[in-house]
Amino acid sequence: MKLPRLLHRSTSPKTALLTFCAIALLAAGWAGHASAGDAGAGSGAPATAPATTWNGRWSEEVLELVATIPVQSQGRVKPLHTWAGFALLGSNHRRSCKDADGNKLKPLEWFMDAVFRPEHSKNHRCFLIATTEVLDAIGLTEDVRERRKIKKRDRYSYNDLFADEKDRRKLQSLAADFHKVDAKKRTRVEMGIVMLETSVRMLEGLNHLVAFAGVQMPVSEVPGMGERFPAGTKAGFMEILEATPRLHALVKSERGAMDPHAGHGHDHGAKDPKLSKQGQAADDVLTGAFAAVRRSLSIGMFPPSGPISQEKQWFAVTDVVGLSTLRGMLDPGHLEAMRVLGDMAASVGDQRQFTAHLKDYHERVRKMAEARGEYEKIEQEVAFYQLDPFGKSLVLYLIAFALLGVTWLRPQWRWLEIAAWGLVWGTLALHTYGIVQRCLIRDRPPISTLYETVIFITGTGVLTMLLIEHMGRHKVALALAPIVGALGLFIGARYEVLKGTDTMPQLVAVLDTNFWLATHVTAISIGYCAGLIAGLIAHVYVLGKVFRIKQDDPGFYRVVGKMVYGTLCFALLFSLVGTILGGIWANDSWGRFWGWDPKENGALLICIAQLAILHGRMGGLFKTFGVCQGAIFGGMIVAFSWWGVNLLGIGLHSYGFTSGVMRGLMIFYGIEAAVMLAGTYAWWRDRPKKKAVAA
Amino acid sequence: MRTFWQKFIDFLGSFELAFALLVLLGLVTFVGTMDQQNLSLYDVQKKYFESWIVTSPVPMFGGRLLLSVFFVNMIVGGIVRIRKGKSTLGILISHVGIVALLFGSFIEDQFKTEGQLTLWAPERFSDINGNGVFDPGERFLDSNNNGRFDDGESGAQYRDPDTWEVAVTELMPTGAAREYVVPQEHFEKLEDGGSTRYQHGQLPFDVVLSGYARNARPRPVTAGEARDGIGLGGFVLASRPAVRAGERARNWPGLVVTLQPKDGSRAQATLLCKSASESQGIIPWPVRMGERRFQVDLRNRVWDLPFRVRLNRFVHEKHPGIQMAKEYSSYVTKFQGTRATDLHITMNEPLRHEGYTLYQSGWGPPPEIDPNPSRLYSTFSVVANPSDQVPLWSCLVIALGLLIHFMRKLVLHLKAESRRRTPKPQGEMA
Amino acid sequence: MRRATLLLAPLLAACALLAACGQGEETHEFSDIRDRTKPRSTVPPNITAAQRYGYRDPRAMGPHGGDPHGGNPHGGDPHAGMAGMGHGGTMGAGAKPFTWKTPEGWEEVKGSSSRDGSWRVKGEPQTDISLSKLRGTGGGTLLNVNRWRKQMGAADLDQAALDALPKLKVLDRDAVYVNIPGRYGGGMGSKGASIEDARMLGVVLTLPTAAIFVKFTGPSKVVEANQAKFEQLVASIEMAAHGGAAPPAQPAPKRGGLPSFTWTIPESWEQRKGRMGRVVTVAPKGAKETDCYLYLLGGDGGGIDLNINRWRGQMGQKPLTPEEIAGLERVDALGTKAVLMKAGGAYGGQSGENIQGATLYGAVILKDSYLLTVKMRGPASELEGEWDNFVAFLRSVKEK
Repeated sequence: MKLPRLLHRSTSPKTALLTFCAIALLAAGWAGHASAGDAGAGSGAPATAPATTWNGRWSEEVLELVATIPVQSQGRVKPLHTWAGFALLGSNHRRSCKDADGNKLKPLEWFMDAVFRPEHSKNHRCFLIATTEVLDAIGLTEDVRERRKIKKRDRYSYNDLFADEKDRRKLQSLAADFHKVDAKKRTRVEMGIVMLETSVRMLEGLNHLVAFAGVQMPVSEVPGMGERFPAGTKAGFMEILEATPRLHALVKSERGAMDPHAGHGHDHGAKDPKLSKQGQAADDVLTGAFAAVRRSLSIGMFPPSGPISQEKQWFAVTDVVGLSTLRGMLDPGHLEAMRVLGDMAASVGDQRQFTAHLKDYHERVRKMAEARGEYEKIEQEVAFYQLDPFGKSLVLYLIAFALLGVTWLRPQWRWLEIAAWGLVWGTLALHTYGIVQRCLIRDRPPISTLYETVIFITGTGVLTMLLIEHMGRHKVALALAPIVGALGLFIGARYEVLKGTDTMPQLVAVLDTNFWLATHVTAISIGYCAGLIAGLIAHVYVLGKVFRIKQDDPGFYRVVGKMVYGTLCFALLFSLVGTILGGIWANDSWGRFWGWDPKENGALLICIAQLAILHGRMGGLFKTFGVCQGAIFGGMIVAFSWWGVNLLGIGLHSYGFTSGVMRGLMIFYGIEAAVMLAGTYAWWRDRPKKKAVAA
Repeated sequence: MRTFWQKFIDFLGSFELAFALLVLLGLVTFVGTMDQQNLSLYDVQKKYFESWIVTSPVPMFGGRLLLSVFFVNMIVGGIVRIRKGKSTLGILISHVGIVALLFGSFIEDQFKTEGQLTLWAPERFSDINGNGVFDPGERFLDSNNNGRFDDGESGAQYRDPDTWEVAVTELMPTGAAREYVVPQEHFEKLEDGGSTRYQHGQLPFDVVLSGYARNARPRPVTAGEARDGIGLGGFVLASRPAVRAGERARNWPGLVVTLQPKDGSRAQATLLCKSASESQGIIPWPVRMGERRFQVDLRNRVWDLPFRVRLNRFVHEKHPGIQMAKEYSSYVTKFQGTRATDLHITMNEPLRHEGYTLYQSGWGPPPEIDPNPSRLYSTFSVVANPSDQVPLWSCLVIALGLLIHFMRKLVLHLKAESRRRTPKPQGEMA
Repeated sequence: MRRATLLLAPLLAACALLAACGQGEETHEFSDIRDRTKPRSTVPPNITAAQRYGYRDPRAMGPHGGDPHGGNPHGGDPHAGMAGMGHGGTMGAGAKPFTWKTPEGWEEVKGSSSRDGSWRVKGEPQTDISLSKLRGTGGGTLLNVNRWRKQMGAADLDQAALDALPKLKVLDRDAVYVNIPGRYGGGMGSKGASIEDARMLGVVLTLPTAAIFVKFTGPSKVVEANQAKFEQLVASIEMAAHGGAAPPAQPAPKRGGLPSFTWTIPESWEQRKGRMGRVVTVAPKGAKETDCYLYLLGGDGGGIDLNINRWRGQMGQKPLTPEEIAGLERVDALGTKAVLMKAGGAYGGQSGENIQGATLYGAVILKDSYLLTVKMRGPASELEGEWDNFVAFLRSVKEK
């Protein structure tokens, strides 16, 4: 209630200035908070170091080392820094979480806790529950929730949610049921359940990742091991793993060659009449070894020793143990890496030793990856995410906008105008640097995913605005430039959260063509961008008319009208060429130029709208005002083509359904429709007056 | 005083008409896009874009009508009657480009044939040299060499799974065959009754087609039905509701073929339709006329390629650890006369030759049917489209035209701006 | 009445005119003539019409179906199956599709009709070994394996775990081999007692159009002791000669070779004199326009769907989709399931009967070598309350 009153009262320019700055800075600060979430908090917990457990925080050195460990996930080799960032983003909708004491943890801290301090990590609040109905569904009754202080949409820890084992099972069985429901038909709660299960399962997988390190088994009857580990003693997992190829050969020879495949699935582990007592003991140990790693997260951690042309898939812990127990195949490099991983798990209590083992592990995996040429981009990618160019650009755009706001109120401060103008250019440079870095990391043209269209179109939009400003120097485009930048990057950040997965995914075969990505996709995106910008500038015209701003300055409206018209021409060029290029691409990959697919139709609609506006204007059907209304409508069509058709869930270009996108789109349509209606009203309201003036 | 005719031409070439057409085209495109949530793409194309009039959900003009009128509008207004000069040069050029694009799609609509060619790969990769290394390029075959590469399947015909033809094949004593073919367009109008007779001097009989149904199965006649005239060999055609495009099931047409010998002997007739047995399609009808042997078949339309393609190897690869496809590639050899060329067909890189284009479009057997097949097959879409390259050239022309026009405008604008700024060097924003 | 006729007359005339136009025969020359070095496909010159339509033919061999290697169901050339024309031997009609060597110490037993082979370990009544072939893939290997795991109370596998399972050769192809310990709860519809410390050995082979299952359940100890024998049995399974390569012409199954039937007429019904061709005609006592009859067709008689939709057509109703038919009520009859249907409307039969406000009850029973229909139709008023009698009647039908 206070804010409107404050705004209302702030009639004096000075108060207005102060208020404006305050709001802008608040907004900037908030955005920075939201996007640059992994800028860590430094308060350390008391560093007590008992032998087995340890309650300290991970040192910078450890985190630096862990960041550049390469892993393979979703078909791509990436730094653990990226993996952990998106894993936490997907689970917690932000790149951080809080521990039980309220300390803010970076993704890698969360990751290290989950792997090496499983019990500790179960208190980290890393599950965002979007709706309390999810809590109802998994059976947390009111009083339980009261007791565990669970009340509303919030972030919870594993222990908050699953203090009772049966709640965990309930979630599991519900998720299994809802998983069968077609993803498009799931309700919000069903979707929430499925996503929560995915996140919980990931945490559990991490918790068990190095659990093998603590496994011990009696092996007194196992040939070749019994001597070292007589009855009453137990062998550690690594000793067993080392022996698996030999044990496997033994079991195989006893089973006989009748069935060459007769390995030994996890269904087995039962008495086999063909096996001797020793053979049976060996078989039991093999079964036990595989069981010990079954729950560990399936993430590619060990690069194969062969060349990349022959073996593409990295080995997870389960793969290493599975292959050695089922087929007797064990890569010595993997065995050593596993051993070091186990040593790390065992030395958590002694951070100095832990760090030494970590260095060893890092070195081994890095060398294996380097030999296959899969390490080149790892450090570059970590640097990219640590720099966070888009998050920083978002903040800088907001600051630039605030500065520009000040220059309207204090036009005489030329230096400030120049500074703001320079800041926009500088931010654009940072923004562009981010885009270029992504291109270099991926070896791709700037756009190959929906996320990248947002980032690219925003950058192009800012650039276009600045160029328009250079042509005219009317300060309109300059003022809009940082708005475009901030809004676009904000949408990009929201979309990243909504998706919650790596934004540098592998591409399906048909998209795997840098030529068409560089031509068609780029052209059509520039077309989108120009279409949206024409619409945005048209807002200035229409809203100006609605609120009767600068009524005595027809020159202002003439200039804005020209900008809209020029941008539309620019948009048409790229939309039309981009659309036809898309047809040519389709003709090259599917054998038809045009198929009335929703995405194709969307692009066609943009061209049609822009052609209609230009022809209507040339034919004298309407004048500048009509062009501006048309441009706003054109912007709505661009949004339909860019986002809307994907929501229809049909056609060759469908990328899957995202309800958050739907909501955003509906809000956009609502606002635009309101602006157009208001514009139409203003046109009707002002028309007779003009006649009077003319008369 | 303008005549009505002049006024009509004015109207045909007017901006107003262009604007109205664009708005209507936008409307039909939008509704046609939204309706794809309910209808299959094929049905939507038929209903909205390949039609003259759309009646529901709201009455509007169909895409075909609008584009036809638009075509005329653009020629009359945008090319013929447009004021020619420096200022309209760019617009003129881009209009020519769009007209060419529309004309190209008209040609495509009329003359394009498309179908599929499925080839099985050999168990092991084999190429012309037999060295197992892919080595693109052309070489000449000696006659001994030619027959040796037969482990990979080869084909020189493509088949359209959606359309049908009746083929009367004479099986020559030499092992050769001559086919007399009736395309679907001829017999599909028999759905409402009637019959059509086909003749040829070389055939000892006339072929009469009747009783066509889009989707039909044979059914034994029951006691009550056993009348004369129906029930060929004790069976009748039972018509079924036609299957919508996009559904898993497919339509199997059926019709009655009667052969009327020219020597006046008794006519023979049969049904051509899908076998009731799941695993069989439509089985041809063998007929003997004196010493000559024939076979009558209702089959998918088949076209001949002027060359032969053999599949040497098919590669499909996924991204490591996930189900996403990374690559589909076919390594083929093209045989034409005594020349053989090793080629690589993959997504986005089709094989173009003599007006035919072969695209990588599918493969199998799918894992759910055979999880570890010893051989794979690769399916190519084959398209013969005389206007294949028209869009590319029109695109360049349109881009050039628009660039000329907008650049000219931009330069004029910048000149005006600098003129505006020179006399008033300061304070214009105050 | 007269007015209506007057109004209709021009309409009818127009129809007749249109029909006449449609009947006119156009004549064309063949214009598309192609010479080939060999025909695209050939069929045996002596194939009969019935064989081409996929029906059992009295003069020659049986229908072509069921060969798991034949056909090309996934988008291939519909003629590709033609290559298998000569040897798509029958699999129904009581002939066993497989041969095998029963291991020593095992005995063959008579299993349910859905099995192609059934054994047990001598002296171990709790053991059960079965071989069966399913048309279609039964939902795929994973689903089948998990169905078994469920029977043993084991958790589901995912695809990766399935891939890791060992393989065993069946019919020269790799089949998934499972070994599941647990508590055996019995298979579908099994009334057998559950076994506490049980084990299941199973082999699933998924083929393009069929799935083959070999399953061994019993107390853990017995199963473990017999594992090698199970594997021997699996290795010995082959396609029976008539199911594989060139089948001998089968003895002609004449119409007379079809079974005869017995039935029980419900108390309130009576037998009537029916038309030729019917097995029997019955009707509720006192009903004037209603009758109910059994009708027997050889082969698959056009199948269930066709018969149901034919009846619906007679009642002026739209045909049902296969999915809708799959959802119809079923009852046990003749050792299989009879598919039941009801329809209301105006009945128009083949021989010109017409009943307004009619009801039709129908049942279709598809057996290996014949199709039996039970149909009852008449005015709705006469059929009221007769449904239970109808069902009882059809369930009473037995092969003689």
